[in-house]
Amino acid sequence: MNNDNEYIKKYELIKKLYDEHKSDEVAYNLKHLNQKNKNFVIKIVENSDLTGFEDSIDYKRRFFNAKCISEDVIVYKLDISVINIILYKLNLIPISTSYIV
Amino acid sequence: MKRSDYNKSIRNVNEKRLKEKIDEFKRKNIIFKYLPKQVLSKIIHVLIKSTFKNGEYLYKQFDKSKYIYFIDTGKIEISLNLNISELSELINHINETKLNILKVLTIKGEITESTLEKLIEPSCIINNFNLQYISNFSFR
Repeated sequence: MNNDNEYIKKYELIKKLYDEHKSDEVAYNLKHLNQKNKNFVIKIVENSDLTGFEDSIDYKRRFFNAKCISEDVIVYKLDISVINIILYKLNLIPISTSYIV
Repeated sequence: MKRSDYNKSIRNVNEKRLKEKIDEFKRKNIIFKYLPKQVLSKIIHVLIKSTFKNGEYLYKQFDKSKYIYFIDTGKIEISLNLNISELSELINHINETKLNILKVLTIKGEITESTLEKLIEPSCIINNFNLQYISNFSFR
């Protein structure tokens, strides 16, 4: 399937979903597809949120894409081994020897 | 100026900066709110500040997970690359279950319920925190 067909198919699917649900998230995805972005947007995170948490803890590979959509995004990165040790100490994740070096 | 006075001044400035940083992080990130100062001061030292431009990716699907990111300023879009059949399947689930998108992903078994909670609202984790654990926690 070429790219144009893929966009059209995706647009039709999302448009049908929007017609039934009229939610902001689906509306955002429609706008997104119109701009030739093929990824399905789950949510927008911004100031004071954290991201990369969900798949850092439970997965060894990223489950999502995280793309900057404003100018000069400033983030603080924290190595997941540090946060995993904290969560382990707080009994929030099961024992995983790979995290405790 | 004596060398000892100079060193003391530098130390004071560094301590002040560290305190400001800790206060800022406590204010901005609920996950750190209840951590004792000595723990937070250690975490602050291992944080790496990074700047990204519009359109750049912090990470992509299937990349190896290495960091979590605390957003200081700016907006980030979290997305999934789905092919047509995956998208159709997702939409069918949404229509059948009348649940929101993230709940559907859970039903599909791609992410667990506990992970979902973290994903939707990171601050909800703090609700499950045993505050006594946090106050007793220290790095060894």
